Amino acid sequence: MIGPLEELVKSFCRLPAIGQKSAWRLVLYLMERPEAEAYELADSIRNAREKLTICKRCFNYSENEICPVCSNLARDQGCICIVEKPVDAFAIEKSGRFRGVYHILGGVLSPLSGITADKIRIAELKNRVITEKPQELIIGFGGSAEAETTALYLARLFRNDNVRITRFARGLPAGLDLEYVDQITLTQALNERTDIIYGE
Amino acid sequence: MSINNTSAIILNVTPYRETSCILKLFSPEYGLITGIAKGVKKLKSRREPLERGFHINLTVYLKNNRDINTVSNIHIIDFFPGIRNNLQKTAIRDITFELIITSIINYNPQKELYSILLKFLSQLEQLSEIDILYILLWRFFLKFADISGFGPDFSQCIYCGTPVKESSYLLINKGGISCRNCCKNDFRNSDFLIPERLLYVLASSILQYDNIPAFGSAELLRITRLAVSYCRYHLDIHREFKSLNFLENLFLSETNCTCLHIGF
Repeated sequence: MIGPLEELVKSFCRLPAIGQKSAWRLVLYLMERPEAEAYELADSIRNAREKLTICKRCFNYSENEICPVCSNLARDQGCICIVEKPVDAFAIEKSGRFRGVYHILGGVLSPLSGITADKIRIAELKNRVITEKPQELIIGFGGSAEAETTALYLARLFRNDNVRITRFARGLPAGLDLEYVDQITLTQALNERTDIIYGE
Repeated sequence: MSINNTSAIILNVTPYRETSCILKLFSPEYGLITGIAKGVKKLKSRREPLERGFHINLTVYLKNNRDINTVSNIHIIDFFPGIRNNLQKTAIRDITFELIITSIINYNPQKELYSILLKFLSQLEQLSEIDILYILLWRFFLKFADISGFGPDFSQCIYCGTPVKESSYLLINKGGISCRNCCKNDFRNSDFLIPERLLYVLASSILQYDNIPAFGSAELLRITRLAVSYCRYHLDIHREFKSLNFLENLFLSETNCTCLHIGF
């Protein structure tokens, strides 16, 4: 058919969750929009790739060697939240409740798939704990089996480092009826129940 | 197409697209099956979460000549929280899963092995003494080898036929043990040594938990490697078990014991 169009479709197909049909839809949409809009998108991609680098401390995306979160002295530098991917850090940032810093692990342990401790940034985290001596490490993973394994592994790794190791509370999502909650979440919610302190 | 209700143990979960996942399942009726569970990760999905090691009930839509079948109506029977929350137990469990994934043929009934695996998981869930966890693993390997037809004979020396009552050497390629007198120099290697107290534990049909002999950390790891090597040799599996390497790394980080490698 038309070479450049097919080439563009192929490029879109490489993106996650984009199949042939969606790729064609996106490509045709771009072709129908004003030229400037398409160039703007192309420029944004180029800009992001050229200007962004990885923060040397937390391994999140950054415009400088050290990202704004790590270089912000108003944040609690002694509290490191360990997350799997940059998008997790962005999600926590959106909540606006966390005032510490991050460490992007770049994955979770999955021994059966060959993802071992040396394939993710555990050594870098260990170095950080030794040099920065934080007071608290918050393990901020999702709820998969691999995330659970990684959390246990990290807790074990840092147990002698004189640092408080905590994890996100697990339990009932807001607005959900109890009858629809699965037994794992319910068990965890029961196990990790907290006191209600009246007046606080 | 046939629609079948069955129970299964989830051996592996691979995320697929945004909201689905591909499950490697071990069921009594069909052995190893691969199924796709569509939409289970949807935010509004009221379906239960799926993880490796869960014991579930499900409906499988089996179609001829299909590698991946659709699965639905998944209900968790047991999610073994005691294993899920323990790194050592998770690592031990994963070794048995890797053995099954690498050796069992798809769509072959495996009722006996399934019930052994289920019993192993239940015991692993309940027990906490580290030596017993490893003995459970070794006994699982032994039963697996028996079912598969290459179970080692621990009752007598394969050369002289005398009943073995002391520490002996496991001859992986011969499928049996040799007493100290008969063992040729090539196999007189401490890596292949089966201690007397282990022979006793493996021989008894019911495990008496209060009478378990103690093994050192290095010994636990060595015998586990020996058991894995034995199965790998007889099943012609050439690649290393990743789960065993993980367990070994856990051990090495805990103790300062040296790394053991038993080849065949």
